[in-house]
Amino acid sequence: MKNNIQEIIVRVLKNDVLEEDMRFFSEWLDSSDENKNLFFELKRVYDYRKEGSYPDDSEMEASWERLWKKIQGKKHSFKKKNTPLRRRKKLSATRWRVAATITGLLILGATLFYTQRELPVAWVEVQNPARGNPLSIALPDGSTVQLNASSYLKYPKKFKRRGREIYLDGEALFDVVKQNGNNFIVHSNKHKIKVLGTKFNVMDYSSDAYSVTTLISGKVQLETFNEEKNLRDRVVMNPEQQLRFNAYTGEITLNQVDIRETTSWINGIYSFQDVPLQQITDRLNKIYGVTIIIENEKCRAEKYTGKFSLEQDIEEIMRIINFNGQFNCITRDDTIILQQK
Amino acid sequence: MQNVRLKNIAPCGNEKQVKEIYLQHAPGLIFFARKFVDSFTAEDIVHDVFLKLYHQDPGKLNENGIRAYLFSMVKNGCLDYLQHLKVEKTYVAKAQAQLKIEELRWYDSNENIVSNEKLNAIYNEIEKLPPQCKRIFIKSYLEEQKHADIAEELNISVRTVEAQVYKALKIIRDKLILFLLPFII
Repeated sequence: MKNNIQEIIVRVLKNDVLEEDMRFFSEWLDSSDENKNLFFELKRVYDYRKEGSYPDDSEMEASWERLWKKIQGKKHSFKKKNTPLRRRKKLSATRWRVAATITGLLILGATLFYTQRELPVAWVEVQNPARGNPLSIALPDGSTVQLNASSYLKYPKKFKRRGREIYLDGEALFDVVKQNGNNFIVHSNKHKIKVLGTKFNVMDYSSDAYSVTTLISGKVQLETFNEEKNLRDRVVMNPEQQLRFNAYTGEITLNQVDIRETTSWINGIYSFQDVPLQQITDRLNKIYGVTIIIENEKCRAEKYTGKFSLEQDIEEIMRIINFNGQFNCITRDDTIILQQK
Repeated sequence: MQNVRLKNIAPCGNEKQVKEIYLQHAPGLIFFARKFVDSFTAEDIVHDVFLKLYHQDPGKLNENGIRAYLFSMVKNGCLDYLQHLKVEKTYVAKAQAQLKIEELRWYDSNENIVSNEKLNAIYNEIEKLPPQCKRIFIKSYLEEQKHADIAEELNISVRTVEAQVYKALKIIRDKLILFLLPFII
């Protein structure tokens, strides 16, 4: 009775599953079409009520506006054949997922619906596209957020009385106001950061294997989780400390850093000191909405020092990186391949 | 034959018409895609389908079979995305990714796209569940509580929670099976 398939099905649906369960489940699923039908039908019932994922009218209105902009944008780019790289719009959904679409700010209020009995929570979603300038956002409690390019923030129109919780995918600089012991919690892809009132910078893109959190003032508590969503580590950070977390190894490193360099992005300046090339290109991918591929593994780890400004275009930055002519730069649409010569 | 067909259909280039068609079909398509990919990618995939149609064959937007056509395009878009997605190397992560792909393939192209109506039907069924079952189901699904927490709160075992959740899902699925399934021919 240890492997009860009904209970395992529920765990699979709930995304709370161990390797042993998953192996048993996969075997069960593959063993007959009947099992497949049963599971996928149950999953369909389960998915029907997934909170907020059925778009409401106001969300669809905003979604239509974005589509219409794309339709017009595409017409335009058909006329001008040799659009420079940095202006070219990205249309393939398989690419970098937030690099899409519009210039400027995109806000949509998505109303999540629970049961008819409960009051819906209204959320505000902000997406700053690739190549977007840092966006300044005022939260309902008076805290402020600077949101970097290719980044996403979701916060409620009104905070609950206890616990101010927001969601981030990407990079943001937070300045949180104190509120009588009322916690402020940032949920991001790899961790959860709990603060009372402080200033800190979080870079946690779901597309990256690592995250970097820098505390400027005050105190924060950062929690990391394993795949089963159980707490792995809890670290309390002090000012001017920078925490790097590697999601693959679970490794945490804590360093003392110059905070000016961490926050200079809000002024459009990116500086790197002895940073592996791969980490620099990871960043450029998000800022410029490109995909840079370094073919040689050794070259990825090579360390570079330099400073870029948002005013420079990606071609210029690639020329700077390639100062020695060590690479052949092959550009195809928004993909740049660096081949070692 | 194709040309004749296209000529008979009013050109579908103006904003109002396209918008109407988009608002009619896109909510269900986005909802569907969000089961498999994150919500931004879902919208991107749906947008790509409309963009392609608009620029290559706008006449098609007015045709009767458009819903099924859009659905299969969105399904393919999701498949394409998932197949190129880099997945963590653990067994569970890989198996979960593969499960999504299998689920997508399981849907056939005639799949009815969901509407709000169906969501309400589910809520109605939840109301009719036996009391203990309903209580646990609401905590697990509507309130997204962890099963361990529910078990502790109600002073029952985690396995009981899981069994009750399964029971609820099964009841709803059995009652709604005709309603949820695609057209029965």
